[in-house]
Amino acid sequence: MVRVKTEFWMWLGKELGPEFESPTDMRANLQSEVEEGITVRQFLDRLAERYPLIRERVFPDHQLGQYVVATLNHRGMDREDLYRQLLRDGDVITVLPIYVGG
Amino acid sequence: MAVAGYLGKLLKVDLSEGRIWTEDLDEVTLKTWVGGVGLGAKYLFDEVPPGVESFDPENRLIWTTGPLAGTGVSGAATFNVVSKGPMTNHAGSSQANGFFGAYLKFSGFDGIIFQGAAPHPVYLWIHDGQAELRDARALWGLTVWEVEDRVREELQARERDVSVYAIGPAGESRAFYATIVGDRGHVVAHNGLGAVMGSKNLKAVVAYNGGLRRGFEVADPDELKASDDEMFEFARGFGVIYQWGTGGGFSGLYGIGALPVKNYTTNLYPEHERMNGQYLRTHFEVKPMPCFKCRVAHVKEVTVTEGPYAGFVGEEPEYEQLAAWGPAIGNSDLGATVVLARDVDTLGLDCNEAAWAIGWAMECYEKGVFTQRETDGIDLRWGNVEAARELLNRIARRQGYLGELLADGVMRASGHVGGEAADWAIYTEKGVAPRSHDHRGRWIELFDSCISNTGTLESSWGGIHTQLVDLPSHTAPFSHEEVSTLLARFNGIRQFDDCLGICRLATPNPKLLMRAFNALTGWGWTLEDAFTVGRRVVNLLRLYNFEHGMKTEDEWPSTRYGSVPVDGPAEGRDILARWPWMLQNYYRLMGWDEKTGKPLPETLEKLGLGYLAAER
Repeated sequence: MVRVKTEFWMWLGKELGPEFESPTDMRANLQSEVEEGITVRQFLDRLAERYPLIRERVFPDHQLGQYVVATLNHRGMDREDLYRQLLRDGDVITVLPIYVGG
Repeated sequence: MAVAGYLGKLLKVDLSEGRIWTEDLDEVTLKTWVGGVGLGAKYLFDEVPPGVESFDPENRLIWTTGPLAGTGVSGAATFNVVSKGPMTNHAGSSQANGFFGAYLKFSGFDGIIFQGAAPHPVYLWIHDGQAELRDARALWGLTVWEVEDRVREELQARERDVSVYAIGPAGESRAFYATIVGDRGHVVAHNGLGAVMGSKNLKAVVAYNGGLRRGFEVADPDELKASDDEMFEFARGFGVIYQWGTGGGFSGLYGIGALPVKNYTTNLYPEHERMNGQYLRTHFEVKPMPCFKCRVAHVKEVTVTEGPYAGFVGEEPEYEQLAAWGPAIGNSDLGATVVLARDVDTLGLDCNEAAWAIGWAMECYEKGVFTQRETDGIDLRWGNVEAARELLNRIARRQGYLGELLADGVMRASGHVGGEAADWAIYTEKGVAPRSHDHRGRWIELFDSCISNTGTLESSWGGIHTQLVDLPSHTAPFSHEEVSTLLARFNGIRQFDDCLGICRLATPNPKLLMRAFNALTGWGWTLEDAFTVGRRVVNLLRLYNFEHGMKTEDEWPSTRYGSVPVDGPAEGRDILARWPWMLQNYYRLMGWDEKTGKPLPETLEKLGLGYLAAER
């Protein structure tokens, strides 16, 4: 099993569910354990299946939504590369609201 | 015959002679250039030939609005200013919102073209189809806020009776990145158009609301109203702006490595959570300050409630001001960004260039290139807010060694100092600094900043929203190929937006905008027609810039701007590794010569500019 932390910097607080820790107004964090060999895309699909708000705001239709972006271990990368990454123990996925306008 | 959406009148003002007259705008001209930047580009090209410099009286300062302004559609009060700008010494185009675009039309005009230079400071007062130049000697030296107050007092006008746009001390001293500021904090920001205004001894332009009487026709009022509702619903769901303002994207940008920290020396800024739009709106006192008829209403007035500037009241800083006066200069006090944002606006300087200049000077101070001898006693350490405030005042008035040096912009300042420090400055080789981002984490905007013909972003805007016009989404931010290809395919539509007299925050969706445009004009245009107009504008500006000395090698970032981040989410990403290929790919897709970037004759022909190809 590998341990994965997912951080949502989306001001959702406890809206996502009681399993989420919310250390600041901005952050909602989830600690998960998954079997080895799971990709980022498969993992996000699982979260979307389990949490309706994640399906609605973050990962609708098996893709990151129009207004969010995600990094792996605080490193930006092209979306398809991100989806293909195999999760490793201690990985951190961060979901961010994308900046538009201004 | 009247053309729906337009007054059909252009006001012309010869400041040297004190002469004012009007010219008719015919339907062919309007259908070719539409308004805003389109009309501005046309008149700049026609009336400012090579050899005329930015501050020459022969340069034009072209204020235009567009057909949607004043219709009552949400956010439709935008105007555009075009001139030959001193930062790039090429075309400059910039927009501002607030009220002026609507009031200009309520006063009876689609635009104003200034030429010449007044023998003493004046301001232009327009109302009821009339225009007059008034003595502004008593206003010279005042900040923009003071001018707004004094003009209203002189005209015995209430706050919303008139819209006042003015230059501050920076425009008077011809600081190269001086702005034109009005309606309590809206800014014509880029390429030093305020300095051009100062060179003409024009302190302000004031338009009356005309009792909000609309002197133009609307082809289909019911359809226009329905499209307005649809646009508002879309805008309300577009990212986080409706709820949190443009500052709502601050931490998201940090998370992808696109927040500018200490002149690009690092990408680490853990204080971002106490500096973003969400923190501001949940901790400071906020009240709405919407633009004319705007339903998105993201503009707010704020009162600082914590920190050393508690009690200060100012306009809520937009994202660019938060970034400029926060991480870019090493500051982590949110209240200070409100103070510095007010300072820079009322002095009439562009916050972007100003912050890059001050950030560069702070790095020079840290590394010993500048001592208190060069700074005339200012302690320019990172994050010293009062030092930044003092330096802004000196830049705006060109006072002292550093004030004079930095007033020409960071490219010229760093070139003058030379040595290693020359490599630390952030700018495009065209001469202007970018928006307040670390574009090394958002390549689409870095590339756009360098290839733009307007002195600022040309096609991107908070990323690039290709999916809105049925192009593939931008999902590979570090792909040389995707960045240059999508930017070329999307090019044009945002310049069309800037022809219309409406704020993009109210209308981010080009398809919905076309519905409103057609309801107003009755022209039945397609999205492709809109792209064609936008590309016509881009190509005309490009021809203009080449004629005025632009070189292909100017389409590069400076050493620091194009450098590889040493830490953070974009660490190790190297955009310059394939820069020549990106240029070539982009030029080819734009229909330009692959080596020189000059528009090909067949491209000009397709855009209705074939007559220019024949002349060249």
